[in-house]
Amino acid sequence: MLRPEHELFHKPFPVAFTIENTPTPDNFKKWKPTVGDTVPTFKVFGSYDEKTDEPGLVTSDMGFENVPDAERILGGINMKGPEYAAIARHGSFVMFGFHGLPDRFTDEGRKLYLNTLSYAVAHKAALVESLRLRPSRTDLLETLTTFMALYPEAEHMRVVERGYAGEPIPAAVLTDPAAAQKWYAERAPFLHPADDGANWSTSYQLATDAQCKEIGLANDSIVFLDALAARLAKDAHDPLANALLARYVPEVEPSQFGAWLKENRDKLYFTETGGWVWRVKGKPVKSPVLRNATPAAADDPVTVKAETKDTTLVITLRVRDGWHVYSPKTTEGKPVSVAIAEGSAFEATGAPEFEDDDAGTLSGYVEVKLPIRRVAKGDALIVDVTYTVCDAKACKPTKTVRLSR
Amino acid sequence: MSIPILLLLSCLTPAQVPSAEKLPIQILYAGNADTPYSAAWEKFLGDHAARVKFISGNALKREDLAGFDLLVVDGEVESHDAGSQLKLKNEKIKLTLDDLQGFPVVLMGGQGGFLSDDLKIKTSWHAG
Repeated sequence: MLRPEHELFHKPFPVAFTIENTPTPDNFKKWKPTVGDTVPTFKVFGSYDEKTDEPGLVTSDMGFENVPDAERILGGINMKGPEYAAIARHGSFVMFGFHGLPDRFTDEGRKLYLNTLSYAVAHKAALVESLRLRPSRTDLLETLTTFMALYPEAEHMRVVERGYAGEPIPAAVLTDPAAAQKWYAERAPFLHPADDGANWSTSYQLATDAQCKEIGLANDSIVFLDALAARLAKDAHDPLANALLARYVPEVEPSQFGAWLKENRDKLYFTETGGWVWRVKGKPVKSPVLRNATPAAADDPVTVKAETKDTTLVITLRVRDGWHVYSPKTTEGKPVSVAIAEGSAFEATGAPEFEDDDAGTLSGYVEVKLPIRRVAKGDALIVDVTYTVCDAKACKPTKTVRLSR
Repeated sequence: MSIPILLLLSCLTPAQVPSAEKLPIQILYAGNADTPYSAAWEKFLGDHAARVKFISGNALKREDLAGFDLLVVDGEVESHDAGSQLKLKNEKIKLTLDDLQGFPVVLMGGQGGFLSDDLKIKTSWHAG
């Protein structure tokens, strides 16, 4: 992927690169069998020793669908695929994935890098409007059409099941491309993540949204929203419309949905990787990661982080070797507790869930999941995590860490 | 006559660049402290920008951005072993997306990728 017309190659320093036709790497052909025998390239760094030099970074095209805040600008020879980008922008963030010492820049590489700095500055105030959080429809389609074939035949079912859940997968989907396409096409309009992403092992699975299928319209089509608005206009308590609205337009109150749709109709977009929700162009996404504002001592044995999923608040405590904290099963110490503080737009809907042993002792990487639901407008969330950390001899004083956004 | 010509040639080494390649911007460069790699980049940026200041990535705070036009996030990774997970030499940057929304940032190499992962933005290693 090379976009020579892009301003990154022209402003402020014209990049006079000379295109070379490089033989297409084998891995490109695996990811995209239709790619040609050569790819256009030019050198950014004059030399690279793969034994001693660190690799750079490329990012996938996942999430660069029709969203207003992100663009891919330049690819490069990499270990992934031809659609991966080495230079890309998301909001005011511009990635320059090439890695090396600056004295190895070619003339065109140096100018490209300086233009990248300038391009980022030019995007001051550009907002990140949607994130890369969830799988997309394309992921499932590519699993069926491309990736499944990269694995031994005995693993094909497992590969597909990693991307789809909720019903048995017909054997023909694994063996007959036409049957696979038909199976996918029947489900595509109604696909939705199988869960909220809090469980790593199932976070890439899609499933058929039975309620969306009942409406009979694709969840990424504007007529789907029109249908919900019509149902709500007829009956404000329509359970199906309310359930689908909470899933696909969670930031809008049902009572205001009709007016919201009318006002924002021309500015709406649907993002799959951003959470399978409808959003209004120009609005920043709120960080799912909470800010930890509690001062930490250099010798603190515990680091606390928190991140929101749709209906789960995931707290992680990294406990240094030799130290431990407690779950509610303990009979020895004070267990970790999680409380949502006043002023939050969310509330807990159940008790915290721990992956603990019978003794209730937790060490290393500790994950606590708290089920939550939205109870007010906005994204405010303030969480207090209280823990007592101990080693074999003694415990430190109980500490409360506040995380917020 | 040959001596002046040689001197002239030696002054035009590839490392030197036309003085016109100067950007009127002030850059905060967040990288790994006390490494030749970071020192080389700090010097390079200093040659091409109105001002550059180095800060260790793991010490970066929101208020450090004041007075700068651009944050450059960079850093080497520790492991070169084939198949092993990349490990940063320093602790990751702790700022959240809310801290950085709308502020110009250039994300370089592995450290840029790890920060992208933490922020959940689309320039990440994640799902890549």
